[in-house]
Amino acid sequence: MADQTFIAPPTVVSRQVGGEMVLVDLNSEQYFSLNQTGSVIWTALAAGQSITNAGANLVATFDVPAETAAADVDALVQELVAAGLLHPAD
Amino acid sequence: MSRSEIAEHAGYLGDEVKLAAYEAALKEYVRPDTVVVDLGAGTGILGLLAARAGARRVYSVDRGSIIATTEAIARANGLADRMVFVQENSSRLTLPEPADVIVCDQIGGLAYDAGVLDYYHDARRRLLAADGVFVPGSFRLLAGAVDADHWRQTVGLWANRPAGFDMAPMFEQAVNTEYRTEVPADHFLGTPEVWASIGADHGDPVQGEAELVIERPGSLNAITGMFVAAMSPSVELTNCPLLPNQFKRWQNLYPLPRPVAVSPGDRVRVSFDVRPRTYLATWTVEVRAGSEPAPVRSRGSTILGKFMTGSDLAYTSGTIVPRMSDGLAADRFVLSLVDGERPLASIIDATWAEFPDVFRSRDATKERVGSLLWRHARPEQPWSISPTA
Repeated sequence: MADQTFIAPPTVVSRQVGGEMVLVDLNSEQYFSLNQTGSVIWTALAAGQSITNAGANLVATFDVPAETAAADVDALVQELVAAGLLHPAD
Repeated sequence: MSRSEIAEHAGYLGDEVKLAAYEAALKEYVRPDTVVVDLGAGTGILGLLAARAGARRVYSVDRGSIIATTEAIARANGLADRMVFVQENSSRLTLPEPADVIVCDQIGGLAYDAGVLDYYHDARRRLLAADGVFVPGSFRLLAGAVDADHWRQTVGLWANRPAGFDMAPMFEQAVNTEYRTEVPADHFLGTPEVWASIGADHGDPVQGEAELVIERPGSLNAITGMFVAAMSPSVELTNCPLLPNQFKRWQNLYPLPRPVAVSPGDRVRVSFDVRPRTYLATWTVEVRAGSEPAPVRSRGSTILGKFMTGSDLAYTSGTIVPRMSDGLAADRFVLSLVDGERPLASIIDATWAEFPDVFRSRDATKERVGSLLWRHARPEQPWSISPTA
C-alpha cells in the first residue's frame, strides 16, 4: 500500500486558485477543491509519487508528525479514488 | 442591433469563398420538392441560397429579433412566398414536415465551438427526414504547430511583469484560454495533421490525437485548431491557411506555457478533448525537441481559464444554500403577477410600488421587469402593435 502509485485520468484537469487546488472532472463537469494540505498531496500523487512520498512531502512542507501526515494521505486518497479523480496504477 | 452584430453579418456576406461553397453544396442537394431548414438564419442568406436553388419550402429559424429583418429581405427578393420565418431556439423548434436539408453557419474555428455539432445532434432526431442531409455534413479536425504573434500579446505578456508587477495568476488563466486569431501561413512550423473526423451531428465529446513533424526552425508557442468541412460530396471549405478553399475565418489557438525552440525533424504530439455541448476544450502537448534535454509537456483546459472565486466554486458543487435577497424577492413578486391577463405596464407599476428601495426609479423597474419576462413570457405569435409600456 505504501508503495502504491496513482494516475489521474485524462478527463481530470487541475489548477491552483488562490491557496486551493481546483480539480475538474470533464465528464461530470463537477468541481472539487483541495486545501493547501490536499493540494500538496494531490500534486505528489498526480505526478506519480507513492503514498509514502506524498506523506514525506507533507512532513517537509507543514512540519507535521509523520503519523498525522500518513493518516491525512490515506484519508484523501480514499476520497480521490472514490470520486474518480485518481486511479491506482498497475 | 449593435454595431458588432452588423459587422458580423457583413463579414458573413462579404466572404465569397464561403458563400460559393454553401451555394454549390445546396445546389447539389436541392430539388423542386426539397424542404430546407436554415438554423441560426441571421440575414437569411443560406435560406435565400436554398430558395434560389429551387427549394419548395425554406424554414429560416433564428432566436433573435433579426428574424423580422430576415423576412423583409426575403420579401425584397421575391422569395418570401416559399419561406417561413420562425423566432425560436433550434432546440425548441418543431416543424410541420421533416427537413430534407438542414444548413447552418455556426461552424466556429474548430466546429465544436459555435453550435453546429450540438444543433445538428438534436436536429437529427427531431427535424431531419430519415434520408435527409446536413450542410456541412462532416468535419476533419486539424492541428498545426505555430509560432503565433498572438501568444506574445495574450499569454507571454503576463509572464513579463507588466508595469513591474507579478501577474502569475493572470498567466495561469491566459494559458488555459482558447483564442481566436488569424495565423499567417508562414507562421506554421509544419504541415497540419488530422486528429479527428466526425459527422456534423456529433454531439458527444470529441477526443483524438496527432503527431506533428516540425519542418522549419522556429519558436513553437501554440497549437492551432482548424477544420475541413465537407459541405457535400464534392465541396469542401476550410479555415486552414495552408489548404485550398480557405474562407475568411480565424483559427483557434491553444497556447503552450512557454515557447520551445524547434528544428526540422522535431516532433509534437497533440491530443484534444472538446465538448460540443458545453464548449469546453482541453489540450495536451508533448514536444520532443533537440533543444530540450527532456520532452516538454503541458496541458490546458478552458474550464480552468474561467475567473473563479470561492463562492463560484461553492455554486458549482451544489452544496451552497442560496439565501433570499431583496432583488430575488422582487423577481419572485414579478413572476407571481404573470397570469396571462395582466399587461406589462401594470406589472411594472405594481413592482415599483412594492419595491421602491430595490429599483430607485420606475425606469429601472421597467428595465428589470422587461429583461426578466422577455426571454420566457413572450407571446407565441409575432408582435402586434400596442401602446408602449
